[in-house]
Amino acid sequence: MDNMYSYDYQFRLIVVGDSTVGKSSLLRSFCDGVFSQDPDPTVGVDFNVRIVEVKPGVKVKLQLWDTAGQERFRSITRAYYRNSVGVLLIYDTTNYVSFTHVTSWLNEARAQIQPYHSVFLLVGTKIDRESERQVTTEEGKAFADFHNISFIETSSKSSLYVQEAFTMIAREIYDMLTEGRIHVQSGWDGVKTGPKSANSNQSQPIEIAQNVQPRRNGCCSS
Amino acid sequence: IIFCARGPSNSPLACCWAFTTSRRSTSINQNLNGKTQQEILYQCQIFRCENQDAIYRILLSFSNAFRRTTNNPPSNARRTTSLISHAIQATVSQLQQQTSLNGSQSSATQQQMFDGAIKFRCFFDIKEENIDSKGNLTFNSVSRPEKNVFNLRKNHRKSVNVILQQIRGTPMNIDRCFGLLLAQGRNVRASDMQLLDLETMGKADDNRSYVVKGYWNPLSRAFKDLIHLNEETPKGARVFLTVGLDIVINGISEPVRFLIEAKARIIETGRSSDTASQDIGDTIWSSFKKVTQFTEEFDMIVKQVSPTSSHPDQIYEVVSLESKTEAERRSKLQRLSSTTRTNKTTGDDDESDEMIISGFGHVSKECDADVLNNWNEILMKWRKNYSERPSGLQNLVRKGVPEALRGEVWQLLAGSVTNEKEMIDTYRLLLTKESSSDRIIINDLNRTFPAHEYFKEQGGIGQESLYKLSRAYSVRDDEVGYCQGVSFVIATILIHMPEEQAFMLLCKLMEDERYLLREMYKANFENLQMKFYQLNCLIEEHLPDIYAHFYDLKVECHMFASQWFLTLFTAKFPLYLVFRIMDIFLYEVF
Repeated sequence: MDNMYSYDYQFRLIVVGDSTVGKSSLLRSFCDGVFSQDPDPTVGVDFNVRIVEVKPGVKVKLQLWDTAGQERFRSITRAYYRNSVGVLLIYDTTNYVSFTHVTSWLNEARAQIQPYHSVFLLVGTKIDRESERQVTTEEGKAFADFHNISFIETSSKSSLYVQEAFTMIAREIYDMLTEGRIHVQSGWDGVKTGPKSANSNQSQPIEIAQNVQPRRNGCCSS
Repeated sequence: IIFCARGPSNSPLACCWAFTTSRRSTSINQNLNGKTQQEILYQCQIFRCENQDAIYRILLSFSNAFRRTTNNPPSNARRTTSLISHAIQATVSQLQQQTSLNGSQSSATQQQMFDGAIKFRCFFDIKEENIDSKGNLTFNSVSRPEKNVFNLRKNHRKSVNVILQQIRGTPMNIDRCFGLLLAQGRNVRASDMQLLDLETMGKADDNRSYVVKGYWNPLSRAFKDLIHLNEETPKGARVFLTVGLDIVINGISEPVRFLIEAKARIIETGRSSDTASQDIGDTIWSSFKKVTQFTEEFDMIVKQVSPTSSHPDQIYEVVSLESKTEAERRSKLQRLSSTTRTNKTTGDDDESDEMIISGFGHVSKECDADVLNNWNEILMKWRKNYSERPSGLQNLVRKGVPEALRGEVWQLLAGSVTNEKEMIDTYRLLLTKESSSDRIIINDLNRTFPAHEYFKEQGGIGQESLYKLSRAYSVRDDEVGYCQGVSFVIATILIHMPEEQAFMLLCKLMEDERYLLREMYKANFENLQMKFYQLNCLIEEHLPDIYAHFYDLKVECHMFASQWFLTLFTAKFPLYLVFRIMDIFLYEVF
């Protein structure tokens, strides 16, 4: 039963940001460990999956929705926010304009995701091109702090902090789940229980790792 | 040694070889004829040996011995060396004859002729530092779950061992190793390669092979950029690594670089117990299992050149050097793109992790004379009356339009050749206007068909046409503007016709009620959703197994098919297929 396809939870994440900031490259680097200089532009949406361990013994399947950066595709991508528990807001550290657009991506995501709760992560890309940098780490950090979200800078080309970025957001979601601030709900695909745990506790909302915290009764209230 | 020769093949003397050690060289008549050899027997050593391989080895050691003597007058030494070389070459060609059943060519002629084909075999291994129970430091070969995949442990110091052995052709003498390099990935640029510290290099005891050992410490600063090679590899994934071997060969002025491509899986060490047990499992099994060595073969072609003043020792120049892996990949790509075998799927999925670059694949321009005749007949009728499709056309289109005729046939199928002058004027006018999508169009230029010769050069003529066309249409159609995906359709057309004609065909595709592609690109993408629905129904009807499987996994069409439709299937398939789809689409519509 405990094979490589089994997992405890499934989190659905959406990756958004301007065109050519490197959304698809980040996902390829994370899911396949490869990098290509000029990948096809994503038209509409694309889809990736990878299982990560958020803590020893707890496996989470990340369903990752890659979206087109072109403005006109927002009517398609908008539909994917609702069922996402996490949003990766991507900008290119060598392109200041892409950074200024993060606010609008954040606002759109917040508006679409309501009433569900979700976790945001601000991701700066292409830090291997240090000489071309236009957005400083401090600026990124300040923006994230102001909006009270997490922040990380990555390079898909040299695979720097790519792993960390996804683990970071997955852990954050998992923590909120164990704290009862996010829960599995029918009719919402943001978080689902995996086949492994679904066998043991069929219809209960969530069974959180037994040794950490007592289960909160309040978690079904909303 | 002033004389060295061997009996010609296909003669009773084929197993004989001889040389003389006499120093009174001036009086001796050098003749390669076996009869003469017997006449001057008192000066000569003649050997008989049935094993050609052994002769090869003995002659090779002579050759090497001579190269090492430096106190000889250079001209003499070189002449002797070349005599021995000829003898070795003859041996090698006999060896080849023994192995190849259809070796009908007389090796006597080969003996005189220089063919520059040379083959090297290379053994490659990675060893890792281990501390055994007694506290001793040893390097052991790492385990390999598959023949070409190395299991590497994170942060462990490693030794990279390469053995190079010539197995065919004029013997080349390896002088030294100039450098051993490592890179993550494959098809790497020279600048991405990292030099390893050389531990040892030199000829093996049997003198037939050259051994190079390098030292790789993943933790040292020099290797900090090779992240994929020292970070746990995701489950089921493999990372590529490339090892470069720069070899200095006598007679070739520049070092020759041999590139070996392998895969690796990086494992975090001692992190969880199951990885450890897996390691033990691997070790136990490897001692029972006969582990085949990782080998690679290189085909090198050299040509003889005359020495220049800057390179007085130059005898050969390398024309090409290709590893078996590269050669196989090349032929696979050709096979994949050959138009004749569209139904044949390649059996092994070894390359399934390959990233597909849009615009790849070769399209054959060749065409059967019969097929061409049929097309000619049809085109004659058609050119007289554009409005009516000649009978028998459907059959021909379904078999694929010959590449040479595609430009014309596509335009005829779409009926885009009407109002030519007016449309060209429109196009030129549109080019003068500004487009609000300029930035995004430019962003897509490098990403559209980068694998195709015409479009791969940044700022090249192909990209320029693509830019102008994308821009002109975005101005023409206010509502649709420029939609990502359309650049692939434009590029497909541009391969076959000049810009103006391509613009006319694009307008037909977008606006003509038969095709009406613009509906699909409209802002709400409702038309695209409808296509997903249709695709889903078609899968259910025609591929019930896949439908059931997708249903179980909750895979829905919108997760994978938007690029298919929005690029008209042009981005993810080899070009011969892309063009066939376009043939059929233009004839039959969606």
